Amino acid sequence: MSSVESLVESIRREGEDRARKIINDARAEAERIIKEAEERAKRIAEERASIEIETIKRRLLDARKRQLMMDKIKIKDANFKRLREILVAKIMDVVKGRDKRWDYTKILYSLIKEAVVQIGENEVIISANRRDLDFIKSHIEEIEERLRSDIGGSIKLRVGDVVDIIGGVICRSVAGDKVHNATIDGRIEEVIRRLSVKIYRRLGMMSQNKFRSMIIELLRTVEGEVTVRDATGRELVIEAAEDIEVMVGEDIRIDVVCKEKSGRIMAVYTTLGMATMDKLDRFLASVGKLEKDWGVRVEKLVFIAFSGAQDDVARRMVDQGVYLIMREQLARLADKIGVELF
Amino acid sequence: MVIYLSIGVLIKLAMTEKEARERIEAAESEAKGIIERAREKAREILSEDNIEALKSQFVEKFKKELSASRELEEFEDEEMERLGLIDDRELREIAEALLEVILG
Repeated sequence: MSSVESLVESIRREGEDRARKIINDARAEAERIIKEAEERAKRIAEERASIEIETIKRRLLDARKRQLMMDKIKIKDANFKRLREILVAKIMDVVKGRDKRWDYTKILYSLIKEAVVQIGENEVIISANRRDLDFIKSHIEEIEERLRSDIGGSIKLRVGDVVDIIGGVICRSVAGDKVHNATIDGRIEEVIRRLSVKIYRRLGMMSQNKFRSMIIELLRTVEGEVTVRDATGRELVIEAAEDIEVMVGEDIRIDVVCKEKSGRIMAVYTTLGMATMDKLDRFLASVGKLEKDWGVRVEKLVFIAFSGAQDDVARRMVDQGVYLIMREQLARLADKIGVELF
Repeated sequence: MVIYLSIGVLIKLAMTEKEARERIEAAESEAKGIIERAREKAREILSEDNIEALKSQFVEKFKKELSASRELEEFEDEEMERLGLIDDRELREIAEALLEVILG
């Protein structure tokens, strides 16, 4: 190739190189522009989505919470309904003489006496169910005699209407201005209403927070030392508390951290549900974290499981030195401390 | 050093240079087009419609993730667990205690 041809070739190549570079630079710039736009669009969209997502999340969680609350109310109502059914069945056994521990005629008489006393007149009209009314009719003189002897004065009973009740009587004065309900049905409702808080507690129908508060109150009340056997038969000594804290967060769950007067630290996990391996793992990990973060040694680990524990969990607790307290032991502990828990 | 070039060679050189310039100009023009199209595409990407579509995709993705996640299940709290564990045996124990109160 001559020098002229080589010069021409060089000019051509240089031109091509420059042209190629211009195109390549432009392509790179185009790519950058598009990439930047995509990133910006993504940022803006994510920002807008996050506001919507937050709203959706809140709405879903609120709906879930509401649903859960409704479900809880339904289950509680169903439990109460079932309790009432069982109670009525037991009472029917008493009323019909199938439960030999009780003498219904004595109960019926005490209800009649209560009603007669409340009416406070010499002549009283008695209404009851067919069976009780027949009994009253056939023993009326005997009952009147006993009332006269128990209350004094001259008591005259008149048999009234048959009413649809489980047992007991409804008494009224002859003038009809005084009425007293001494029915078993009324008693059932009255007792269930009066004791509903206790029934709720005894069945563990309360929030986890309420349960934790109950345990904290129980531990605060300890004076000196209280000893109780845990569910595995080991002896647990609980001392009076100097300081009590709750450590419940995303990565930690110790419902009660109790610094006892002797300076020893007791960690307590409380659950209304069953003791499970998962819960135990979480408790042990939390205790490990507490010891590391605070630089302390937790000397007593207590797991309170209202609904009990499976055998393998209980065995593991023994291996890990964790005391297991279930409802029965909790009631015993409360008794020893002198607190009416259930 | 003196280089002697014939007119023919000079013309050839001039033409080659012209060709090269034209190629560069064509490349510049093409480059301008490439960037213009990229800007157009960027405008499209940043358009309200596209951002809204992207946002909807994110929201949908979140909804799917949320329904599969444990976040909602965590509300299956221990009170609920307890309520589900109450059985007739426990209710009978309480009924027995209530029987004493009612008839006692």
